Amino acid sequence: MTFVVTSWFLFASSAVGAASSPPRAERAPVFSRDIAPVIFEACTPCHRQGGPGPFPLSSYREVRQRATQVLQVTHSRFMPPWKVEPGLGRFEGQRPLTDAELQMMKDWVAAGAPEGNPAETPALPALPDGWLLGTPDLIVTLPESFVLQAEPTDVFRIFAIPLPVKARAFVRGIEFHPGNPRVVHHANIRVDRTPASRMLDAADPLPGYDGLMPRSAEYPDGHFLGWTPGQVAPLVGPDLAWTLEPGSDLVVQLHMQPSGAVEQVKPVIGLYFSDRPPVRTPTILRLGSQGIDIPPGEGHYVIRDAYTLPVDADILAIQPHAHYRAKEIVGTATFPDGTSRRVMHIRDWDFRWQHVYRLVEPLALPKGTRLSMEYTYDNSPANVRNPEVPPRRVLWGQRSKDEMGDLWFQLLARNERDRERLNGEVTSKMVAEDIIGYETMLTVDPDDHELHDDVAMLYLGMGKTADAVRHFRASAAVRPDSSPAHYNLGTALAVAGNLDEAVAEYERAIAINPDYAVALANLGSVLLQQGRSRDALRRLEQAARLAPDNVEALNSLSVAYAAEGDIERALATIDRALKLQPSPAMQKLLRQRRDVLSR
Amino acid sequence: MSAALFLRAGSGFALALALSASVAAASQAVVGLDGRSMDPLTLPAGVRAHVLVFTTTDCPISNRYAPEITRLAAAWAARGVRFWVVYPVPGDTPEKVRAHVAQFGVNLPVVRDTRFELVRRTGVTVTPEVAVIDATGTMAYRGRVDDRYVDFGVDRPAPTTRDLDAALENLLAGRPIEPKTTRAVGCFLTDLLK
Repeated sequence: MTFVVTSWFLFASSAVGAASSPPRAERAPVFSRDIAPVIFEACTPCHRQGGPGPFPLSSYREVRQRATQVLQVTHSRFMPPWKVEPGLGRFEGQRPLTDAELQMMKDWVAAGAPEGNPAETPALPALPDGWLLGTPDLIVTLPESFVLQAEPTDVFRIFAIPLPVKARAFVRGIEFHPGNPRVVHHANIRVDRTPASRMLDAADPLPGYDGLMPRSAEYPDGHFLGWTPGQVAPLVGPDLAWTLEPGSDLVVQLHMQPSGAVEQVKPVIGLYFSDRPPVRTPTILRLGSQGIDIPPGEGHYVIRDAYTLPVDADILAIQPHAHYRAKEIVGTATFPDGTSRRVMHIRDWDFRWQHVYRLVEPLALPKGTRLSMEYTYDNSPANVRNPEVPPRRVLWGQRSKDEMGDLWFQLLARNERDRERLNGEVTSKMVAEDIIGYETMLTVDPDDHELHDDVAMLYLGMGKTADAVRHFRASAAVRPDSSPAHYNLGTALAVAGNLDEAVAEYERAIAINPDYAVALANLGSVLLQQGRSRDALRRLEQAARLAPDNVEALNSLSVAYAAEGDIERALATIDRALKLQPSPAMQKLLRQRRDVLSR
Repeated sequence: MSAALFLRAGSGFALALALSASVAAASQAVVGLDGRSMDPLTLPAGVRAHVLVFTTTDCPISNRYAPEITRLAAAWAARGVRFWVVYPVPGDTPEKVRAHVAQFGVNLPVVRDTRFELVRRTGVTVTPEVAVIDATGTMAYRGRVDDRYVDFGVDRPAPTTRDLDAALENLLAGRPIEPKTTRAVGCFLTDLLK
């Protein structure tokens, strides 16, 4: 690579305006005065001993030795890693190099990369090796390292890390340390308030597991979590903290790139607490399409989605997400007066740089603003990142071989009433899209019973019982020996009002597992609805014996006793249920029945 | 041919190399980890080709090729091809290199080329880059191992063209090698040579 000296003269002449300009010959950029301030600010925070950059750039010698490379990667804008086009407003952690700075580096290399006067070299910025956000209130890590093999290509691994808090806590932020920055490329982080992730992790004998995060692993209370090299999300104010319930797990999906050697990976995560509950909660809106279906060779496939805000809200942060075939990503806000502005634009999407883009100043959107997204995909052989050569048909799915297209917005409504309205609408919109995603995945894997179960639960939550029954039926057909499969189908049938078939499915579940307490309880309840109180009583007594703390079973049992004329046992069962301190609604119901039966 | 032809320092040395020219010339500058001088440009009888693999201890792209290099070396050993790993960066001390080959499981002959003798004679500009020397001491191929890396940060999940493999196949079959040079993607050696 050769740089002609004329470029140096160009730079020099452009700087002539200043009155104090030294003579031209002295204007050649030198490391100490010109280059070091730029490198130390834009590169050194990652490229330092122990940092995520593969080699240090923290002294003249280190930069001089890699001058050509530094020049090449900064000019191509591969480094510093920042995929968003300029002109979209300011984001946290953004340090783009200006054209003038790039020109100066070019001139410096052309001049032979001189050091200048070492005394003029600025001090390195203070970059503590420890926690950048201060001492965390809670530090968690993996019980043992994950061993990453030397090759061949990227690995995705999910870890459920328990968060040992005894009481509810309020979290202002997290700081993620990759443990092995050489191979950890980024981390997707969620919180699971259920044991679902933990069980998946435990089922794999090695640390973590391969596959997908369960639906219960979520962004907590509308907060993006995650890590990419060089980014530390600042702590939010105490009024915006998220609630950490005891028994929750941090779910961390690591994207790792093999280094060529066998590597140990053990990330460490610090959490920072607030001493008081939050007063405001953001809402996450996800735009996107889960109906993606790109033919092989298609070089220009477009998806679009949009949503119009029912209330005023601020954008706090934006996170685009797609896999290897996505090319261009555009997000737009169209205001009620018809004007619009780009809020996100990436021309050359790179799956490996999944930043959360946090706005330095929140962007205020009036009610009626339309947020829209348009993503373009290249599934042709010309896309070198295409994981399939020759290309194949690619559908929506969460595995990296599938394709996705999401644009996530973190929105903050102005008051609680607005938030509830926004939350309700946004949740229904996203569930409707999730259902499309499940139906897409099921066209590829029609016998995946977990997909059938998940989508059936979504349909059930929306009140679409016929669709729920259809998918639970498919799940039970795939695994006819599974008692939960028949139980699920029985429950959906009962909700749909198809009691005869519901009884038959519960009977199947119980035939496989005679001690299946909830199936016995539900069966008893359905039999009661059918007026078969004697059959119901037998099933409910069994259920109450197997699960003495099941309030619903005791409630049904009291009804069955009463229907069979055994008022004494009915009253005793009600008292038993009340001692378990059920929900207020259940308590009211039980007391009312007791009053009626006592007369 | 004298070494002087290839030592036109600072003036585009990479282009100065005629590919058909012999690169062989004994030198004291290329040493093994024990400090004894070695000459990977001169092939012993019975050896049909040498492959010089230029690397550094801290180049991520180079490091990611370690398993592939190990595999290729094992596959070609039986056909009379020997692989050498060349460390040209002066900062890669014998201790660092020993730790590096142990970490990356590289069990191949290693030389240090800290006076850039081999770098200049072959004309490599980055790591990882390979040079194939035939039995006559002539450089038959120089460039990338395969096309997995397209640019910094842009790589294919798997290579579609295995250039080094193809070059060795053609060389041993007596067929012409085309292309004789390819552009390798990796960490620049240029600045070390100035």
